Amino acid sequence: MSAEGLRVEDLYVRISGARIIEGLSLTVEPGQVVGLAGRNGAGKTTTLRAISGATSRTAGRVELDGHRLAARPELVAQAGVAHVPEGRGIFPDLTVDQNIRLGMVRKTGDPGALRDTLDKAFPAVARLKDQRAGRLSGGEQQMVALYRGLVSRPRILMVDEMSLGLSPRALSTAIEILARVGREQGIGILVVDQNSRMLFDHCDLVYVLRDGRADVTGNADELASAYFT
Amino acid sequence: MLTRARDNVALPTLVILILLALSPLVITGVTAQSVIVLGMIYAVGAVGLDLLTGYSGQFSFGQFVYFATGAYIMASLEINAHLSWWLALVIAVAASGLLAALVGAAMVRLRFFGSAVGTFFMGAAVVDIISGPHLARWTGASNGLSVGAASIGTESLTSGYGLFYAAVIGLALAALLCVRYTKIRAGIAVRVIKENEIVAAAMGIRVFREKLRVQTVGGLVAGLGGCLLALNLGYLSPDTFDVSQSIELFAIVAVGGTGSIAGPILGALFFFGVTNALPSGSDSELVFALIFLAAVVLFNRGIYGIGEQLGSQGLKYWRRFGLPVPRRRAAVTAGPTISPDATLDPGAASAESAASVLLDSAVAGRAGLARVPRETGDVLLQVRDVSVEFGGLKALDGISLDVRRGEVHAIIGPNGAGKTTFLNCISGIQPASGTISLDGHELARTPVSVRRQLGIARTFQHPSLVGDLSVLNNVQIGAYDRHTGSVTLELFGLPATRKRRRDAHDRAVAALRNLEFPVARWGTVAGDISMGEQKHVDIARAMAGKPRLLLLDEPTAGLGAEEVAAVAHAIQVVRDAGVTILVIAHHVGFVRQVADRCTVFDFGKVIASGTPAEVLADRHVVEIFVGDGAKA
Amino acid sequence: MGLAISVIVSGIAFGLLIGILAFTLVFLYKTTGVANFAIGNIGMFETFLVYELYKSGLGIWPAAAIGLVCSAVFGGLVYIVILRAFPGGGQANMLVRTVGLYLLLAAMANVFFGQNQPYSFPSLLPHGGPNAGSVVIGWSNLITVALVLLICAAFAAMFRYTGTGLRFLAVAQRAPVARLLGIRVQRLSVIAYMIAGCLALLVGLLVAPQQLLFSQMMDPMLLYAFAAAVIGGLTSLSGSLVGGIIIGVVVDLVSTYVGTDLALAAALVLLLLTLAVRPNGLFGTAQVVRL
Repeated sequence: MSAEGLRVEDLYVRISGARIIEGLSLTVEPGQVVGLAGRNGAGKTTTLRAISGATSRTAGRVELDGHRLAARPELVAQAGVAHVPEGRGIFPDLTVDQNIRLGMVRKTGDPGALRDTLDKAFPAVARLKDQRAGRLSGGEQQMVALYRGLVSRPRILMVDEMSLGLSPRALSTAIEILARVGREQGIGILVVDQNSRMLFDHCDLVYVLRDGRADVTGNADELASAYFT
Repeated sequence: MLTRARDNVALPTLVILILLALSPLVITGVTAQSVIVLGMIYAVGAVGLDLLTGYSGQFSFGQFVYFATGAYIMASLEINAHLSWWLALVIAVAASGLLAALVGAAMVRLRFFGSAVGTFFMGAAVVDIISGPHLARWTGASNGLSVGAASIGTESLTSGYGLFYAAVIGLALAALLCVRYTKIRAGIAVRVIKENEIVAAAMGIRVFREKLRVQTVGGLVAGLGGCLLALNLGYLSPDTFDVSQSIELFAIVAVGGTGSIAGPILGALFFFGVTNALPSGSDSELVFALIFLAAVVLFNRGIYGIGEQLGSQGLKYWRRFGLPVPRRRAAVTAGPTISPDATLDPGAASAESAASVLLDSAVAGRAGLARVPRETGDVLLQVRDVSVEFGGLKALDGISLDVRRGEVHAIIGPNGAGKTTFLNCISGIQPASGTISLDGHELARTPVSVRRQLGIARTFQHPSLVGDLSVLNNVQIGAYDRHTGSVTLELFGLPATRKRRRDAHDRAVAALRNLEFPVARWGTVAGDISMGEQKHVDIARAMAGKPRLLLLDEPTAGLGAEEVAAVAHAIQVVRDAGVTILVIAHHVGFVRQVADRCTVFDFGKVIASGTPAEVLADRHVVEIFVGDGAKA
Repeated sequence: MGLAISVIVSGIAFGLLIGILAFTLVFLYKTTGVANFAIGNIGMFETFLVYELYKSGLGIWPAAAIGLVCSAVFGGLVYIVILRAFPGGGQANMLVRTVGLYLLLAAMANVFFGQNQPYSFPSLLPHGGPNAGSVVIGWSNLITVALVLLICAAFAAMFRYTGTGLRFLAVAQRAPVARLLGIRVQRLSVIAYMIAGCLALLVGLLVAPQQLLFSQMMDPMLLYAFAAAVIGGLTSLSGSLVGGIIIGVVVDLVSTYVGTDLALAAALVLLLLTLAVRPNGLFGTAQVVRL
């Protein structure tokens, strides 16, 4: 097990006395597509927010490529963990292009080449560059959010609940493109979603979040029991 | 900024008042005494502002306006209407209270930022108007107004000991009024409002009315302060009432310590002490501004907070040397030696409490455990075609369902399905189209606080208990069946209001006991209990009002396994008492355990309804949770 | 009639000044989340500093130029020392800190500079002006309008063409998302306060010649700016300016025809009316409240 990628060890998150995450551990290797499933209220969004630091961590370690990540969103993003939040986090009054520019926080290699790759992968986004982002459909906005997450050439991209508000076709298109780009570019992808069937169809590995902890699960039956007990 | 408001402020306040009354024995210099007089006069207004800000969470940066109205109206009535000083004073104070009520009615509806700006604005605008030509006939405009002489017998009230003791008496009246206010139902209600207005309304508290009442008290005492100021100065000019004085008054309260009544008195004395100690007026302004900023940034519990810390350190050393400590708060024992009053003081255990023991068990018998058949079958809550739209997105899309009397009905569904929005519609927080009827009575026009009287109680995902009140007091404020009635009567503690208080107390005790909340924790301040306990107390608070329908919003969120079991047991108890329950839960296993029937929401629509077993066996329902890709 | 039009014209110029201050308030609020009660007194204090420079022999223009540079530094310092230190008091605490700063700056002005206030302050703008029939349009008014338009253009350009400007827009729209993207919100806040310091000085320099320089000179401006910001809807540059013009014209008309003692009251009435009838102002979008 190399030190590369995202490693979360023994994470605890308690908010105002509520025990949400109790000893969670997971890893995401570069180029790997990992899913995190669980019934709602289980703490999936809290997990991502604790990794990026939007929510403070009560205890535990989060490491990227062997380096410890402090719980500060700006630093985590600069270090190379991009977080596409629930609801996509698009700035509605800015154009698609402006939204994308806001994603370019890291000074990495050759931005031109990367953008070409992404333009080819997300043709819809390339077409809509000058549109106000608030006017786009849910599916189009999701593409923009993914594009923006990838344009900073992160080491890890985390996506929260991308299925909300998307048609099945838009959803499968989005996750296919995401998985493909991630594997090609060596970016680790962590997808959190209620729609666990989607996760099983596209991820290399699926964790289930239950009782504040994450366990690797192989199939839908284990998942169902996680939801209904 | 808004620190915990304190409960037991009567004693410190009394001590300070007595010390002030006796101070001329020790402090004989005329200058020093005049400093104390000025401090006391400002303190008269400061205690009211503390009630307003520290206890009810409303900001006012224009409070000195009521000093102005008190002073000018009194002086003007003396000159223009030839009234005697005491009659003019009474009218001036009453007028200030009335004005505060009117202004408050406007400011109260604004968020705190709006009221901060609005009151500041008012402070500046009023000074302009006073010094302008439009009211010159009564105010003398920039020429000012001289204040008539006032005396009781041969003792002049405008100088010397007469003035000193007039100020002491004025401060005593104001301070004791404010202290008393914090103890009555209205005073506790505003602390719930400060914590969370929506929760307060759901408990039946009339938010607007209570906020307005506190504004009026603030205006009354500030008006009194203004009259005393007029007597002190002998001559009024608009500059005296500059808007910066309002800010200074606020600073005095902050530096003294918000939420303590006694603290602002100290703050006022401190302010004028500092002002007098330094040679130049501007220098003292500077020093005080620095102290104010330091207080807000570094240590926002003020002088009173420093006193508290010293007191508790002192107590620690005292104990360490094994010296006896008078017990101020007894741990509550199994026997209900709980006085009807707000604090748990064993000293008050008396015949009254003994009688209340018997009453407790009788009430417990009545209110607690009456057995009711499992399902009567008729419909208590009928929901037809309810829809809610947020900016183009349908949070609820034509919801129709029935909740039967006596059942536990659960609502489950994925994130964003509309469950909490639905509960908000029933409690009246969220307007919606469609009909919701309770026992045939349509709820559309009923405001939130009135729904409580109809028998709808609810808990919240974030319980919003008043952190600086004990568990018992938190439940007690939820136990009043009505929050109407005259505050003046409450202040005087007439038998009718005392009975109301006792009934609420008894109901609170019964609720906590039925829900088996450990007696040892009843006296603990709500800010110090765990999340699980808070949710438990929230249920007790809702139950204390003896509702017909109890709405529970995510009662198990954030709880560990044992706490979830405790909540499940609490629900059984509530159900056995004949209350119908509608509960939102994410935890499907929990729902299987407690619910008689359940309804599944998805994307604002009802997907399935029936017993938990039936519903969870339905493939469609399972797919909604586990995912099927078809989330169009 | 001629008088009325002159009053309206000067009201518009006055209103644009109010609008700049209102915009500064809104800009700071959107970037840092805190409404700054002290922004008027920041300008007042900075104007006093310029006055001291001028008294010590510099011409008014060089003094103003140096003052502008110092104001940027001063603004940044205010943020770092007063607002960023010991965070975690909550919004109410931050607001009260700005109130404390308001008091502190007034006291400092009185102690350090204020022995013989009020002072007459030299105007940076020429006097007199062209006439159009019976209507007098002062040069100062025209130049004020031109200056404000210039500032607007500069801001528009910054928001549109620079990375920093884009990041300001992001933070103003959705601060939490901006942080997730790695935008350094604190650094932006310092920059915002530096800009605010300069704008506050600018307003002070234009107000002082008319109102005389004294420690409470900016109190009415602050209040008018609050009212203008609320009327404009707390959203945008254009909203603040429009709000400012409305306030400026109304205040000037009331001062001329009814009496100066009712000017503040008139603005207050407008503020309350807006909050009662259209709480989101003229341009604000209704906030969707999710319960």
